Amino acid sequence: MKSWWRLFLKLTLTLTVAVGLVLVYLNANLTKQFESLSWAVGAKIFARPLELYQGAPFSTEQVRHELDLLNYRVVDQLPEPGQYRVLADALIIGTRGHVFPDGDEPARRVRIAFTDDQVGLIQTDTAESVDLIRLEPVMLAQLSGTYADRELATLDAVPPEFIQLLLAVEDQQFYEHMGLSWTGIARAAWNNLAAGRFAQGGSTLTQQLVKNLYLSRERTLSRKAVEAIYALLLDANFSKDAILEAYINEVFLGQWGNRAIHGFATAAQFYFGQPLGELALEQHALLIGLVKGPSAFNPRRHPERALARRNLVLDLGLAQGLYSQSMADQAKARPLDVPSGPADRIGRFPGYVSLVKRELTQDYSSQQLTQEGLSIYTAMDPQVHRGLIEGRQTMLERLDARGLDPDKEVELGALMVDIPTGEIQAVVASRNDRPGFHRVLDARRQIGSLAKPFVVAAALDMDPRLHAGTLVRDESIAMTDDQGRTWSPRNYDETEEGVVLLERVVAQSINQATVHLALGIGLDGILDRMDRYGIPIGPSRPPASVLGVSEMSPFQVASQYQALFNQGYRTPLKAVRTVIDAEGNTLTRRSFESRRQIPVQVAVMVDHMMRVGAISGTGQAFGRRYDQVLASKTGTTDDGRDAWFVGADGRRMGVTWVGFDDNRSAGLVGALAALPVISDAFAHVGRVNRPSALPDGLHYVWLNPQGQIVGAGCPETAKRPVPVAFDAVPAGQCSPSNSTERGGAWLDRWFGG
Amino acid sequence: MRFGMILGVAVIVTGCTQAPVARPPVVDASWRATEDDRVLSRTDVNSASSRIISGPDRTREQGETNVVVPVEPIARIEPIDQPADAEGMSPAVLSLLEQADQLRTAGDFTGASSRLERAQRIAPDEPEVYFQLAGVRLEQGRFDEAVNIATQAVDLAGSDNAMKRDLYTLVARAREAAGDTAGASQARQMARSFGS
Repeated sequence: MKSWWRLFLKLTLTLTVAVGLVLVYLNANLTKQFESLSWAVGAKIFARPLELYQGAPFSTEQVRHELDLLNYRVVDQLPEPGQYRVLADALIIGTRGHVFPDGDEPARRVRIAFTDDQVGLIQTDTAESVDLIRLEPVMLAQLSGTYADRELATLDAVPPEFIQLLLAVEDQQFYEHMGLSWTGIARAAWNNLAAGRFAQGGSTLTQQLVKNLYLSRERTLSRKAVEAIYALLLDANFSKDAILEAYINEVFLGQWGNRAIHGFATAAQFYFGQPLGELALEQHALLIGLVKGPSAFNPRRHPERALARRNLVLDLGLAQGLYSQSMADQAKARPLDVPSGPADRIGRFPGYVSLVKRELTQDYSSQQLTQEGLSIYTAMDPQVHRGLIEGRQTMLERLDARGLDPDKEVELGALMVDIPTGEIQAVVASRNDRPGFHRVLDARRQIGSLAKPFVVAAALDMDPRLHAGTLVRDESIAMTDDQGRTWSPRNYDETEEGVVLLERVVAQSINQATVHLALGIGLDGILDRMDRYGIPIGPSRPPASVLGVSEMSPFQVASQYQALFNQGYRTPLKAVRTVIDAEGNTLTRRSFESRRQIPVQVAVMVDHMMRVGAISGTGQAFGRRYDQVLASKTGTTDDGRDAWFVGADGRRMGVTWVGFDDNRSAGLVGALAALPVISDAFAHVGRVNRPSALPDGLHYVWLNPQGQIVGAGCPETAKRPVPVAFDAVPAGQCSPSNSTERGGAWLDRWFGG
Repeated sequence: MRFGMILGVAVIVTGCTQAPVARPPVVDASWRATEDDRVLSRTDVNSASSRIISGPDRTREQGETNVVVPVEPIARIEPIDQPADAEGMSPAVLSLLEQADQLRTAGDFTGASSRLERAQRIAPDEPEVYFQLAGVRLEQGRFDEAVNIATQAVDLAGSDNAMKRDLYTLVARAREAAGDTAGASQARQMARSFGS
């Protein structure tokens, strides 16, 4: 008897110790996991904030588009945060405010007047005028290894009514129980007995959290036991508020493709595009109703079921006395009002987001990007992006209408850049935004005629007597290189004019004249300078480099053209402005830098010739269609394998490449295929003129249509201004011109009147 | 690299509709930009006083066929040589410049840079913005960047000589700090050329 007793004691002791050890281990493990939980947040990528100030070049329509992207609601009374009111010549906006890396932008109500598609006076409630406000930036993506977006909410940012309703529906005794609810378990046990199988758990919020965080989805009794132990441990270790906050951020509320929607704040953005704090009662009820079954009550797929569930939740809250009958009735009468796709903007800008990731992979590990709650502020401009997408649509429709090779799909890469800052505002990496090959960054293709402005820049640099009116021979020419190969370039249209104006070498992209120019000025010097200007020439220095045999990506092309359009000053292209960590410390700030890459006088003269290209050359659809100051250059390679277009106004530039990924001939012509992408983008964002003084060393002279310098006395129809680098006296005569262009009109076109 | 060239013969192109019209020289593959023909005498048979010519510093080279350069070239178009009407800075830019100045005084160079870059996005042609930004870089000890930004601003300054003087002075200080005394004195000379 005694020995039995002793054995029993020993066994009990061992068991207790073992269970105790397991509990200690579980406890430690659980505590650690729970504490690190709040940090597993993927980096958020933000667009540029829209800055509003007097004179900002935005129309009411453009500002409203931005507000719509941010899911602001139109109202008829004084707007609260996240709402705006439309007046005849003004908008009243209740801004949400945002904590920017360089300071807080407060939430406030502002009245923004508009005149002539420009922002006028900005005033606050108290009629104080404000110099500058920033709307909060659109979120483009959240980087996450598991595709789980998470918009974190701290408990004090969750409306108390929301929490009351949540607890009324999911766990009425939350603040009283110890992690488990005995009444709930009893009820579940009874129901299970009645059903004859394990069908229901009387889960508390704590248990649901445990299930979501740590356990598999299977429904077994043993899992139920582990869940109960975990729930008790969690409750013992952490405060109710901490558990509730974790629950609010963790609960699974939906799926979209490979995006898993966790947490109420994320769901508020996903379903309504609004912060949790802005939601109305019926929206609260919809989200809380989803807890029971995000797919069964999916408001997009099963709107009737979702509506019934929402109204049931509203009844439960009413039964608890959370609001009045009339409030419940009003809320029930409202429609679901959930858009068919995600209401936030996540996943819509894959080309830009991969560019951002590429920029950051050198400095950040994927662990940092996906788990440490970074905020990445970029220069992405949703308005410019919208234009680029519309341009892509136009182009694809046009190509498809021409019945281009139905088996293989024509691809494209396009980007828009802010010239003075080098900031990349929009990127399109493919025809359909599917993930994969990034044509803006990785497609290296022959640039063809895009090389010509750099040949001419090199020539202008080597001989300051050259100008737009210099005559260049345009006759067949053949060269034999060191290996005895003969090279005899032809003009694109197989014609030759004998002699052409230098500006037309650029504007009309004349191959033979380009070669005459390069050889006449000195090929070695030309190639040296092209290389310095960023056109890779390579060690074998093929003379055909002047006709664009170099292979470059659209990104590289944009990098070099940026300097050409920016008076010769190159600013490295960038997408990212600032990266901050979860505490708001700045980790990266890519500040403005610039370096002279092309002599300023040369760059300005070439820029001018490209403007002629836009008005009368190969890019003329671009110039004429919008009748504005735009410089452009088209490019087409042999057999139309590649079609390029570069276009700019006073502020932005765009580059498009169109072709097949396998470098097959596509019969493409730059002006036809690639131009609409950029021209539509410009049409969308509107022209920006940037009149600027000529730099020292350049001044304007009048040129007649034959390219001769003439005096001011010539009638306006017979002259136009061009910048030159030398002092000159008029040489030509006022010849009659078949052009109806007035000199003044030319000026207007360059400077936008 | 050597090339054998098969070329069209250089021809003098005469005016299309008018009797003798002087023409600029035709650039073709046979044309060489050597010191000899800097004034384009070889192709210039038709030389008259109304011809394209080179700058005043090259008048020393003139031969029989060359043209005397008038002291006051009359082909300049003065009005559009001037900067586009210099309307004042917008209140938004002024406010950002002010904030930047305060932050810089407080030693917050990152904050100052960020305000100035916002100002640059609003007014990318305003030399004052670049001047301030170059000043911040100078105080940060980023001398190369200071020089580059100030150099760019000179080309934006148009006829604002006071601004150019300030910019060159800043360039001189940055070069001095970087140990480039020759470059510094060069910049000082430039600064002086824009008045004191």
